[in-house]
Amino acid sequence: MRTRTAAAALALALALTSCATDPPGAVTPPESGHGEAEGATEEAEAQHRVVVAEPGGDLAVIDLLDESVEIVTAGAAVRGLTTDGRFAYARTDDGLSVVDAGTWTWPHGDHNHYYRGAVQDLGRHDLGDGHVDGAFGLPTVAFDDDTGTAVVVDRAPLEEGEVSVSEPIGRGPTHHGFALALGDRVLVSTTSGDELPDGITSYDLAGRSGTALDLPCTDLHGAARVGEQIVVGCDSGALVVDGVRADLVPYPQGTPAEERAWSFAHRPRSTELAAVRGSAGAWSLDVADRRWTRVDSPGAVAATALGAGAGTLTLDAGGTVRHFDNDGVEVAANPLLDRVDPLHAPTIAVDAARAYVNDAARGVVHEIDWADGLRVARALGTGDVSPTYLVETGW
Amino acid sequence: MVRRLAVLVAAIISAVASLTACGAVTRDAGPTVVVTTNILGDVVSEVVGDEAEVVVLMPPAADPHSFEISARTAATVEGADLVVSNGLGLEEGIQNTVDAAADAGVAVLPVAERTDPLPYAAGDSAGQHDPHFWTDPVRVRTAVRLVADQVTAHVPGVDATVIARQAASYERELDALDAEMRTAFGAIPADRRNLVTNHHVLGYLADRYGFEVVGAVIPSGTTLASPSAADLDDLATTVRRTGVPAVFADSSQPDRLAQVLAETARIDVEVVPLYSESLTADGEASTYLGMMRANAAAIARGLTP
Repeated sequence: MRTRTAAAALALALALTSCATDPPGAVTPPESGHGEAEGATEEAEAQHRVVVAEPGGDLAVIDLLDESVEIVTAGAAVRGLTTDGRFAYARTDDGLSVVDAGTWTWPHGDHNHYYRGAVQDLGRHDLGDGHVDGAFGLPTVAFDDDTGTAVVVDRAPLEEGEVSVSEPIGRGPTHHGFALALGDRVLVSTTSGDELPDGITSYDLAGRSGTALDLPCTDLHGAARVGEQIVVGCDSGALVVDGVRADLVPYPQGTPAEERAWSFAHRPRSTELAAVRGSAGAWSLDVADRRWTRVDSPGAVAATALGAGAGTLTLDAGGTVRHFDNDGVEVAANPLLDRVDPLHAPTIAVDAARAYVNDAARGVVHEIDWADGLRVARALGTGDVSPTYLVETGW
Repeated sequence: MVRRLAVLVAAIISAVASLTACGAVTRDAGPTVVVTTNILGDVVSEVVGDEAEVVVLMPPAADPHSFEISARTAATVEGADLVVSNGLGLEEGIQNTVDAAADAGVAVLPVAERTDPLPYAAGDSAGQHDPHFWTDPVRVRTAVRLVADQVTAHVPGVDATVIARQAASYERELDALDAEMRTAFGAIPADRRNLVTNHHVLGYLADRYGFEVVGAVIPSGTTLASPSAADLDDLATTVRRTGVPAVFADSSQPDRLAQVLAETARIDVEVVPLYSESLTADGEASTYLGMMRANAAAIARGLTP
């Protein structure tokens, strides 16, 4: 990483020029760590990579500029994959496998800085088993369903390749919950007995001064990061949480219970979200306008928001990708996949120019030019790793 | 920003060179001026000469927004006689260190804040002040005066006459740079004075020399593998509207981008990279004057008929 390399260089320089005022043997070694072995470079544009994983335990990191593939072996059966834009987190049967995919974005006011470095396997760590969330400039937070508590992984050491884990935060008991950092707070879900959470407690980063948020709904599931807010699905709508308050954006009148939103997907940093809507299609949620729009796409198994008013993409059980505009009108369709495994629905990951859909049956990732009628731009090889799970990094 | 030369060895050599003797690591050594960015480091070194130790924190070819320093170097900052920073939020990685030094009573000169800052024109930062003042050599001339005054006032043992002489000498070089840039840009016709760019640092240069900065979205390298009209739309439309023969853009594949624009959008345009926020370890952009001359020449070459 460039900044670390620079710091190390300076530290080394200081060590080399240290003089008589230093006691013998006090030469400071360069502050090197795992993450510094390869220097990262700043680049002119976003450096996207796609990470795929197969249940057997192998991950492939695909570079989207040159289509090169690096294989990382998790060493345990993989059951899910998430990312914070730089690190990929694979849930396994034996801990969380953490991979530095080596590309990331630093949002900086009116512009971004883009970095490109080496892929690094940071190993498997006992961070519990459950929801994992991270973001640039924020600690990674991992929730453990078994205990109903979360641990915090500091970002700075993580960028150096070191996974340092805090004491558990939260009070349990067992539930299928979530936890995320927001500013200088950690939000941890709570339950009064059900499997799904019915509360959120806000802690400081050390896990102290917990304050329960006042929630207008229950059965929370699916937490997404939208700017300085978190959006969580619940039984009566979406909760928009800013760390202190939780506002409900209720589903439109007449929404049946089976059409509630269970999880959200979107282009990173967009303020629009999408969620599968039962078997009827998808929801589009404009967080800024606090508005739900129904997207009729029967049998949709995946949905994501393109952001910036560009609409929603869905993938149905028959393997067809569809593009809907902001009013829910279909503008393009492409029968992309021969078949869809109902147990492992594919993912649609999107960036400003392309969408990526994993095709486990054919062993490729489809690159889709979503602004050009869902044209397939490339079929990307995955180095013989069956792409059951997919995330895109570099944002 | 495209990093042109970024090797660890160069960073080490340069850092060592700027930290001769023990001045950088001991508080009881000679008078020390600490400078945050390498662009300002070059300017301050010209003014200070051998009158005091100048310690530049940011290595060559690094990013001013994100470089960080060790705790030991931070101690050096607090032991300095004067800290010269860019300010206006440029050096995020070490702002805490600079603030701590100020709190500890060290004189701090945030240069960009004192050289008539301009607001950002657009984007999320619209209304905030733009920190990239150095693309205007006239403002750098002002900075030289400020640095000379502050060095004379706060750094013990320096010879004010020598500082004034060195500052005056460098001011003449900046005057010459300004004149060269005026001459180089003078041949660019009024209807071509558009900087179509994804650089965010050219606001001051444009303001000084009468250009319009036209922001453009540069298609990513990923899309160039299999481009569509939609991928090129923003840039192609901007180039057509402004009629420029060159765009000043960072792209990981500038030649490929020009080729794709020609083939797909039938636009014949040159893609010219510029130096922006950092000096390089060696080569034409290893000094402030050299970096500015290289950029001015590239802009003039690109836009002059």
